[in-house]
Amino acid sequence: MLLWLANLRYLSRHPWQAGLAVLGVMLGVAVVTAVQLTQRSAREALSYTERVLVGAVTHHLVAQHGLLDEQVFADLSLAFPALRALPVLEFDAEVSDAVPHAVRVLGLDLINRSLQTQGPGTPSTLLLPLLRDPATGLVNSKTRRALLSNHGSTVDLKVKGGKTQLNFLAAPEGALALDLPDDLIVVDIATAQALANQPGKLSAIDLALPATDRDKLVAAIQARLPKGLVLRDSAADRVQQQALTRAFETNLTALSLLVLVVGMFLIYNTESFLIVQRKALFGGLRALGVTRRELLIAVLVEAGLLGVIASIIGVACGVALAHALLQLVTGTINDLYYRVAVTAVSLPPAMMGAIALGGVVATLLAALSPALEATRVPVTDALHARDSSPNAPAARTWPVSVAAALLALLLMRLSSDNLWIDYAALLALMLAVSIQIPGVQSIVVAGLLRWLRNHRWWPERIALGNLLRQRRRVGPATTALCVAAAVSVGMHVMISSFRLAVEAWLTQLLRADIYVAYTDHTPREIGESALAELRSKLLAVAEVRAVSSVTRLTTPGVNGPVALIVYDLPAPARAGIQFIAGRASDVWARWETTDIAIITEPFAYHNKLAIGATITFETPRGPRDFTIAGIYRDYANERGAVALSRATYGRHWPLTGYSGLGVYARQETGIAKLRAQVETLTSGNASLEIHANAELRRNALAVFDRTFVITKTLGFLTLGVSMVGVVSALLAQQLEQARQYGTLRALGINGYELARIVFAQTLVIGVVATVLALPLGIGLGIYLIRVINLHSFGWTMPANVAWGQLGAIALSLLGAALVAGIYPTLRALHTSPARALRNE
Amino acid sequence: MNRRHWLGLAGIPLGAWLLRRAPLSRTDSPITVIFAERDLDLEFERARERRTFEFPRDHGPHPTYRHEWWYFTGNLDSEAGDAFGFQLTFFRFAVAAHARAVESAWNSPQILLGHFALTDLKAQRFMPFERMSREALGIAGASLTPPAVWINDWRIALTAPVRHGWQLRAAEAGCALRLDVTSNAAPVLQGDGGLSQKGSDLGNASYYYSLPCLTAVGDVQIGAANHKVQGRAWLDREWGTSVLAPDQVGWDWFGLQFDDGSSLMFYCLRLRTGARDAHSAGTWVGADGGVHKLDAASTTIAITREWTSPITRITFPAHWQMGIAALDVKIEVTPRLADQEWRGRFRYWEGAVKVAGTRGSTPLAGFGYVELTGYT
Repeated sequence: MLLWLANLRYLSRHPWQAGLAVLGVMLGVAVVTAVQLTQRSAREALSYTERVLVGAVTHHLVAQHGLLDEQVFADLSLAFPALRALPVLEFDAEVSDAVPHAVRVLGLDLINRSLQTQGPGTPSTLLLPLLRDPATGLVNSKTRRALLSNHGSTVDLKVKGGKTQLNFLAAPEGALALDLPDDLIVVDIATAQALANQPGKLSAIDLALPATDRDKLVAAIQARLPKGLVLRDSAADRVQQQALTRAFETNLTALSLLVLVVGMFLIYNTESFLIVQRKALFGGLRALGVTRRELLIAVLVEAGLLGVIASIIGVACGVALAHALLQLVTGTINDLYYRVAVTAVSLPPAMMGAIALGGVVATLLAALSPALEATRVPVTDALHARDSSPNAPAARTWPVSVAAALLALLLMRLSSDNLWIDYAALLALMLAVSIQIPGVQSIVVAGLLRWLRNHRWWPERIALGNLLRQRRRVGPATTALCVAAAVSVGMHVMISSFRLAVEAWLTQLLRADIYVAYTDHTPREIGESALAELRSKLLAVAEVRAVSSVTRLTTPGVNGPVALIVYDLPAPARAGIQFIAGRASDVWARWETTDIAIITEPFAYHNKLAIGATITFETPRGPRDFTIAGIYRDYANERGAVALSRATYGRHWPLTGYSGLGVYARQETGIAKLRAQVETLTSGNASLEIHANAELRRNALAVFDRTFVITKTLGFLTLGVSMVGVVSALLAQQLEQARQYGTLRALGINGYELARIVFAQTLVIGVVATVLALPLGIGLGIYLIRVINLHSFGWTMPANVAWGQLGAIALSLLGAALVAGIYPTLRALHTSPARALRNE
Repeated sequence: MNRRHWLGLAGIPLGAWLLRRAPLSRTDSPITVIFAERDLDLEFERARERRTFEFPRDHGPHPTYRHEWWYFTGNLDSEAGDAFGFQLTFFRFAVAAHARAVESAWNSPQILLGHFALTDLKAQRFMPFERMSREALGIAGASLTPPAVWINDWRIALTAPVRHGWQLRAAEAGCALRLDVTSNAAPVLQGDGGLSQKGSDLGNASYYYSLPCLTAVGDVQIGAANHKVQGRAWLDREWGTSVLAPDQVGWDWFGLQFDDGSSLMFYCLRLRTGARDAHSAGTWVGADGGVHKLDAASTTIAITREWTSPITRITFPAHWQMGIAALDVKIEVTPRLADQEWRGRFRYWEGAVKVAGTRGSTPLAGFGYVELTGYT
């Protein structure tokens, strides 16, 4: 009883220390919770139709080009009465107000038994007007507010140059309307056909096929399909979608694991601190007859309780943090994919419980060693408050390091595509290195001490001596700081390398002066024919040196749909293709005349293809082989793509229109004039948009930056967490020496000299951590680029170190070390020497 | 009216009723929402006065009324001695009296909902299925010439106009029903010459007729087993625009067929207070075809047992004693299977029952269907 009361009183009289202990655990738990929650939400980010359909959408039936006839739906429904099929017509449109606002219109058969009317989906109280009124759509309340800024409930909707009025349904505020993604207007399929002026047409039929006998059913459906229709396995489509989600998960998982490691160091420090502070108390208790066992239990129970409190607060904070992170995730997914709704999902209570339990267990594990130390305090020593631990021999760390390094090497050999093995290797590597950090620090400190021996800087010598004696206490603090800093540095190296590579790639790729494409809202046939017309006009313009073109298609391949790019590349455009394998001169010599293809780097990586291999495509005249003559750099599509020349494509397939044109000016100076001419040629055609080279590059990089905002944010968060931890760890170490400082004060040293002792110690820790973190972090960054990124996406890039950013990180680390010295200095200065000495 | 009648009666689909007490609950389906909108009634025709029924035309749809149903139920026996109950029902609901000015084949205000259930009495299994579609692209619809209603391959069609003969076809995962039904008697016009008043307001009524004595022959398929069956079926037809009165919560409908060829239909409208609504009514059709109108006062119904659904925890009546003093009829009605509860978009109980009793000193026995709505 006495024991518990004493501990409780200590904590209540030292709220700061108790708070620090809680803070350390809490931050770790919060970050892990937030990352888990964000990942789950990102994973649940499905397209709207996927969420409203009962059961998972297994297939999409689409036309190879353009829209499909609704009669296909009727035929399938009659031929397969039990089929769960949802007809969809979706298209882009613009709400024209003062500021045009791009929206997506999604038409669904709202009376369809496959449609979910409970849970998320079409709120059925809103159904009647959607079915009964001529042009009424459902939007979420945020979009409604954004679009109906000024008046009434009606907006002008621009579809394909035509204008029509659309009435917005008064979607109720709250959960139902929130389920709709932003800028999405849900209408009945009849309304959609009328708005798009596409009676009889659908953009897709979404199917939820049963798991049993699915293959048979797919074959039966395929046998009935008219020519030109494709039944796509949405699992294959989702692979593509998930690749992006995987990009998040790659980064987020790495971070959350490392945060956990940092968190453990942090808890260890805080616990040590709490125990060191109470050595006298424990000694006293032992003198009063408290057994070691009782003391150990008391200390562990106390740690456990702090862990519980901190974990609960941590989970709560994590949920709040996740909501902020989700905004970032949503932005990224919407930039890269179609519009989806990322809504906050809640973690199952069991998972939250597991995270909280993890926090408590981590606390207990970290507290175990300091707790054992507390029980070993000899009664007499404790009463004299003499630190008995410093000279304990250091445990052998080299065998651990060697074993971890060997394990890492083994795992790296094993791993080909498995990210988890990659992570395990990474963690083993980090362990191998970080466990040596205290030893390295001791060597550095010992070296410095030797070097200072003949100098008069006695305060510094005292400081270094303290560090050396207390290396077991100081080591973990340095390690935590170093690992966290390395993670931050690694992330920066990876992101900046990636960005530079993308920038360089874009710069080389975008050779044309002006680009013309059709807008997202434009139906494919209309856009393609508008571009074809423009192209023939452009070829007649004197200022135009050349016109390149691209057509993007999807074609069935052996492992699911393949992105096919059909290029018409005049000489100046060819320089934009950067070959990683294959000789450019060889490729271009045969480009138009023989059946060769060039493939992007991710395509080669994922399909394990090399130069000389062939790839087979189904053509109207049967399967045809194309020889791979080159592999080129491309960061646009992580699944990869195959490119053919327009001439080659035309030999096997009926030629199609154009997805985009590149216009090359005859003279550099003529670009402005050329642009004006292109604008004249396209004037009145709202379906085409014109971009200058620089604009396109800027937009692409803006998307890139948004993609990595969340990664960077989490990187900084990790660093922040570990800094808080380091400040508290250094505090613990410094406070432990209060008695020594008291003695020194009694011996007459002044405040300046005392400050020198304290700051020399924190600064040495900061410098050692920083100096070690830089190479470690750069190594980590290279690993992320060469291994994780390659395995995730299949693309390579040169590593690049942005020294300016790293310098900023280094400075902030040193700053943290200095901040950690302020409170102990002040405390030492304000402690009366007599009081400090009373324990001597 | 019969049960659906119930519906009909109040002219309310049971969904609407459910909606009123449990807004946005699981029962919040498109249909319930549509029926919650009372303003819509104005656009539609209403059953205000007696009309002249014409057959086969009135077997077909009446799209100017808001809702309508074709309600087939029956008890069947196989050659091998297995017994089955079946229900095949098509509801037609209109979201508007007229199509809007929108150019699309999907632009139909008519929605069809199908309920198909088989009760396998030997295996003690109840297998309900539901389909819904708008009247578009030929996938679903209701036609006049010849009268037919279908959703994909679920279909009822009048094949023998003179004998009111219908062909019934429905199939769903592991179950199929193929029946031909014919009637030797003319349709029985319920209520006042077919005008079935559901509440005291003018127009709070529906048009309602029945074919209570259909002879059924065909197949029931369950799994791989095909059973040649025959038995008796019942058709209830009703259309109107009215909705349940605010004080009505649901109804119990009985459609009973006796071995001597007589039949009894009675619907009991239940009030919020638990009492029986005065508009409850029914019809006794004698073996000779003689029709005897019944009302709330002339018919007693006592519930003698209840059953609680293990899934929804809803308690339904499960055994009745009925008496018609004027006809000296005393009967007991027992479900042939306790769990014949619909748990989909609408929650209700509709199932095969057995009936036994006396008329005077003559024993009465037979089978039938009972529908129970508005229980929570």
